[in-house]
Amino acid sequence: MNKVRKKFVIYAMIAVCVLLTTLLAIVNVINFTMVAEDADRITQKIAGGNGAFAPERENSFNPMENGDFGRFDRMGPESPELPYSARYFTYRFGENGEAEEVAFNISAFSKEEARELAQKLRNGKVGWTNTTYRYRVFHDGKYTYVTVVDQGRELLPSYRILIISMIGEFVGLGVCLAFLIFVSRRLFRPLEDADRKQKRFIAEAENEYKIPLTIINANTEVIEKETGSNQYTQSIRRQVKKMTALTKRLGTFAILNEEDPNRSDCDLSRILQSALEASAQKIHAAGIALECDIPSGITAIGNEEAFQRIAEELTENSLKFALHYMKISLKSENEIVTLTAINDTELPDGVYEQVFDRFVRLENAEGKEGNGLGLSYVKDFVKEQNGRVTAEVMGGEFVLRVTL
Amino acid sequence: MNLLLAASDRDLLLSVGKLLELNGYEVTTAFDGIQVISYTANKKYDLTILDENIPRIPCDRLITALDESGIPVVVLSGKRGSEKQKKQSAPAHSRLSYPFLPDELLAKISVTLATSNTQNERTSAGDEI
Repeated sequence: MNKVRKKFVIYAMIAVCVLLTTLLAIVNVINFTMVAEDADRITQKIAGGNGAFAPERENSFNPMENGDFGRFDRMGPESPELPYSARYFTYRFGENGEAEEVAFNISAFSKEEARELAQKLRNGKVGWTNTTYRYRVFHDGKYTYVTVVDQGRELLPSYRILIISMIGEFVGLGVCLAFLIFVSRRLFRPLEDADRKQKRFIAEAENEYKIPLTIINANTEVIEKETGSNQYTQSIRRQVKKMTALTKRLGTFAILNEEDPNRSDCDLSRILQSALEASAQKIHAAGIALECDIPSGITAIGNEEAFQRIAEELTENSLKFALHYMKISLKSENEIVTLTAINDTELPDGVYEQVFDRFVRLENAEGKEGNGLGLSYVKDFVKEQNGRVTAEVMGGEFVLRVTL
Repeated sequence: MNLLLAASDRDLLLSVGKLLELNGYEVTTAFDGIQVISYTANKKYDLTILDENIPRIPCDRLITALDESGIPVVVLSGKRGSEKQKKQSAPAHSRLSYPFLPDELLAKISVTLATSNTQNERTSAGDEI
């Protein structure tokens, strides 16, 4: 459940981060675009006056009238004060390339520097130069004009908004993270409790079933020894077998859902040997020849119970489907451990990854016990141990290979 | 062959005890750790079958005591193993997890007795040398 809570917080944070960044990016991009557009309108006005503002006063605007104050269409580039507030210079270039000053109303540049800059820009069209200066190059047939307008004062609020919005975003994300952590604790508490109860119930059910099943098995054996086997004792055995399989599945579920499984350096050689010892009788009874290649001392970091289940399931699977023989081997090369379970088969050659899907049974499983879950659990266990498992048939041999 | 079967579940003692008797073993049953200590002090057993959750004396202490007496042990393990439980239990070859089939128990007893006998023979041979 902790994993789910962490995922919830991470995904929620990603969503909030994307949303905030998108919003702020849109606001700032629009803001900077509008500043650039305003600057272009100013340079266009200058171009309309052949390099300087036209001297006439706009009589339609009377600031003394209340209605004209605060009108947006009379601000920025449309302001009647623009000719007096614009910081700009214009140079024109004749055919001989000689620079001639048309207007110079700026203090950040000396006339020499301004001429040099205009010279540099005369082959351009429109754009930004020296970060905060907007320039425009225009022609009147005889001359090429270069106008450079200072937009520093107009850009400053935009930069402030950008910085403030970035700081705001970081602070907002921090607050959002703290809020999500706090809320997720409260939100997930009932789910965590339910999950914990469910797991405890499963673990307890698994444990509580075990001894009664053992006793029923022993009692059946005793009854059969004393009075002989009959259809009823055989029925008991079949039902016990089913319940034992159910108990095992509960155990598997409990291991797979452990919040913090014990991870240690596990002796895979010993685990595999134990699994084979447990199946030795069944292998013998089935008349299957067993070939083992299990060098001692091969270990891997992981959960011992998960490794036990992997070894048991692979052994049981090979035994169940073997026709005449099965081979179990374990090897370690370059810190990669490979566990292989092979059995002879009549299945055609190919890759059989579908055996790891739940409830999938191959054609050779007809008439065999099982529910198509064993190998799906193997895949889950192997995944939990950061390994991979493959299934294929090669030359009449079904090969299950676990790589850790 | 004398076996000591120790578990807190009386039904388990009854059924598994009877099963072992039917298979030719002489079985004594014990309900708790104190009975195990008491019985093994008075009689030589060939093997003890010990439930991991035996009351009154912790299983690991009983295993140590039985090891010192030279009595091989088969531990019946119930719960899925925590690290602590695994450490306190006997070696893997002498452990049997619930639920087990009667044949599995009988096979485990045979293997454990055979292993114990082999070890005893080696020890005796070493002493003679």
